[in-house]
Amino acid sequence: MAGVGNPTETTRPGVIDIPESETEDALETPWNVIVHNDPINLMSYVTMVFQRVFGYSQERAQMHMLEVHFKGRSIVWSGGRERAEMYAHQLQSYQLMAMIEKAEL
Amino acid sequence: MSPLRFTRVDDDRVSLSGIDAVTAACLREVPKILERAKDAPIRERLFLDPVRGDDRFNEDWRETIVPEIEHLFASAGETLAKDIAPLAKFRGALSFRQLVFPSSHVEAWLRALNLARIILGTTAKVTEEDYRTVEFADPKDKKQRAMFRLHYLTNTVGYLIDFLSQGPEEAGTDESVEETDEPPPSDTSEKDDRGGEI
Repeated sequence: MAGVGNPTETTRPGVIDIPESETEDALETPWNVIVHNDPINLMSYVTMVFQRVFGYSQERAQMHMLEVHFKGRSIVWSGGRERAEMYAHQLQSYQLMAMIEKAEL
Repeated sequence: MSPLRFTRVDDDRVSLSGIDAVTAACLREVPKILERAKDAPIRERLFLDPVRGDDRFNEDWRETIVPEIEHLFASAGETLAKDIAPLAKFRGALSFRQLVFPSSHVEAWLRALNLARIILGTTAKVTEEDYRTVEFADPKDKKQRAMFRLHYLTNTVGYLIDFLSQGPEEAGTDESVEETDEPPPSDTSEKDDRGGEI
């Protein structure tokens, strides 16, 4: 995940100058972790995986599972790209059809 | 109701009891099924390119992450194969059987059994509709054969999920474990078997 970086010294008291490129990184568009529906994985299995990977409650995990089942996909997490990649890795390790995409703002 | 049941024997061991002849036969087939994990349609199903349109990133993913996950799956398959080896001597037996294996192997069982289901389902192009419509009437029909195996493995995975979802108290203990002269399979699972947990 992009960090804010070290603020540079400033001649104006009380004002911290942050280079423009770093503020852009910090405020970059979040990434969504998407799970797609598949006809093989059990609903109970998908719910359990969401609980394990994201630490979600049974209710929240089930809500995402049902969204995957009925709508074909669910955004299961949003945030920095690096963590999104890590979650996609974990979800694929559990044989779920996971991808990441830039969130539409 | 199926008598199939995962139970905690003690802190280190889990038992799968109530294994009927058909479930035993389906479990014995799992290592053979897992050999197909490297087939192109299965790899396409398992390893989606994570970012649509980012060829460079996807290529890196295929070179670094995919082999890591494949290793995890292969390791899980090997662990399960060792644990179910005692089923070979029950071939043809009609009475219910029991397997005891290290509790640290449960994650490997989950991944290996689920992978076997995915391989069977993907190969036979199983759809959600098939679960409602396919009958087990013609043993020569490829899809029906796959659905039949899928059904039994689904049953086993379902009981495993139930077991994993229970707390230690609910999971209970199985005091009916048949002690044999054979030592339980050694703990061969890798530490990253639990990689998805946080």
